[in-house]
Amino acid sequence: MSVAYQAVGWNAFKKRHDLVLVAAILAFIAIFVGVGLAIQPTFTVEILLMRAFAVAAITLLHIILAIGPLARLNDRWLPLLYNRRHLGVAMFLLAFIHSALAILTYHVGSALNPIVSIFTSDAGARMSAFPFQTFGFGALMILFVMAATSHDFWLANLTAPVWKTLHMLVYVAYIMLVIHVAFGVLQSETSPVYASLMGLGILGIMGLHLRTGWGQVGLETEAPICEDDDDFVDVCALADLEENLPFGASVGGERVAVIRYEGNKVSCISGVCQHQNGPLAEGQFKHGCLTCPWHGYQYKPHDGTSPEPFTEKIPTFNLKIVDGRVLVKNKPNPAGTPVEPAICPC
Amino acid sequence: MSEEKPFFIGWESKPAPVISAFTKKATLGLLVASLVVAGLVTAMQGAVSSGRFEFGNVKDFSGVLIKSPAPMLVSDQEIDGEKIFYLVAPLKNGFSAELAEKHHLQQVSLKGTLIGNDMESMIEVQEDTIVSKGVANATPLEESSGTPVTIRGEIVDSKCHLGVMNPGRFKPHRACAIQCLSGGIPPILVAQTAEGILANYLIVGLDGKAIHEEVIEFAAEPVEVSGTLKTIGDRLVLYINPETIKRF
Repeated sequence: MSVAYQAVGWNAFKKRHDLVLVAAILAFIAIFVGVGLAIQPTFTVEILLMRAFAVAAITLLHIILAIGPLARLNDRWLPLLYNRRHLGVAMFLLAFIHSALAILTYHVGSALNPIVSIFTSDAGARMSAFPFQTFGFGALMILFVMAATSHDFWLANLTAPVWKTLHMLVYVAYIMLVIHVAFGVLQSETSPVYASLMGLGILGIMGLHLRTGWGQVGLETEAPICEDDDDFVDVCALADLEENLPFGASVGGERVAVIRYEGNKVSCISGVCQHQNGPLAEGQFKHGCLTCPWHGYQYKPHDGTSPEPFTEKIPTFNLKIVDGRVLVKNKPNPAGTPVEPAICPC
Repeated sequence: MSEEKPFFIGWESKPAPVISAFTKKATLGLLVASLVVAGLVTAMQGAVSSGRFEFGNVKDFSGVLIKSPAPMLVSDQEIDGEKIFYLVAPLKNGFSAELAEKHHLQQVSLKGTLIGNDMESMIEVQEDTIVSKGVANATPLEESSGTPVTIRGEIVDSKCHLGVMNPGRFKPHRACAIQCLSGGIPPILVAQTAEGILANYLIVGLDGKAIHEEVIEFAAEPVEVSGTLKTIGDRLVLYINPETIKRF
């Protein structure tokens, strides 16, 4: 949670996470180059390294893209989501080293500018001249913008919706990289193992996203307008509320989280975390606050503000309990507006 | 109060044991799967040639310099079983046509780095190291009579293919081949014989002069080339009209 600028908000988990990540990347590169040279000692080391970094980057990209839906399907995956931005930056660095090696190996050393060479050496609709490098370069630029703006500084300044939209470009980068691989190295490395691995990766990512999307359908359908008071909508029965576990609904087009806490208090706040638009309705009431499952940002249920010294705040909603039903006003209060919790007779 | 559901908060010092155990298992699973991918992908790569590039190992060479069908040195003595060496310049540059003309059929000494595979070798000549020792008392390389042929293969630059890059062929290498050919490195047609052995054919124009720009657009693509095949020394040389090259 944000108080003042920090390059990285290190904590014990992030340190362990990054140590494992660096060790895993080093092991990956060592196995790729070591096994490659053991089988074919005349392989050019630069080309083997170029391929090792590329395969490491695209493997990591698949893991990054899989973590989101996996965490929606099973919250046990949330620890891997918590530090996903570090995976993203590491993946960009791997892709950058791959491209630097490719440029040094294939494009440097002639009279032509190496960057110009990337765009001019392949041109044409033929498979053999398809400009696969242009797609790789484009993907790298997207990954660069994402890595450069991955810090909370940019998240706060761009605002979560803009930042989120920008970072959804990872799917465009993924498609461009699939084209880069399919029309590049797969034109020379014809073992069915490569096409199979790539196909499995694509199907896996698509399958996980479709499965997650299917699971979300109907979860946050618009709550019906209350018959007696059309300023309020009927969100759920009081009996639907488990203590400390929020209930997600859609009110007036906004995602909300209704929470019963401290025994008999019931409040309703926005279901969208100010940090990364995380799903607060999938969080829990912890340490006196509704806590976001993604990065642990916290909001007090009665006024939507983060505990001091943190400064985040989200909209609150007026709420009342009538005949065992939870009714929520269909217009949010400004972020941080205190609302007296309803008291449930349970 | 209902039983508390385990919940992960990253900034807390210790996650719940059940979450911690799952995270360890998931991380281990992803790690093992990733390392299997690394091993599998690298092990399944196509065979590369036995070519070598003795980068950083500059040697002295002496022999007779010949300007065509490509700049070559006929060495005074065999080196690794080879006597004929193509000559090229550092990076993606061919041997200077001016120098080749100036030293044609002269006895020379030069410094350079050896490049070569099982079939042919090449020297990357260090700039300004060629010393002429006068007109050679030698006859040009023996040349066979021509045979009309049509051969299917891939046009590449000879320098990368002979050992600077392994692999130095196919689509990922196309940009490099284009730069090398533009820089004046002799093009060769790499074709597979019926026995599955790779054969290299030096490509020159019908008049025996070097061609580079004319074949660039076909680099690293499957092509069919028709022309006249001759043997010059131990090199296979294909005399072609570039306009007759066909993609297939």
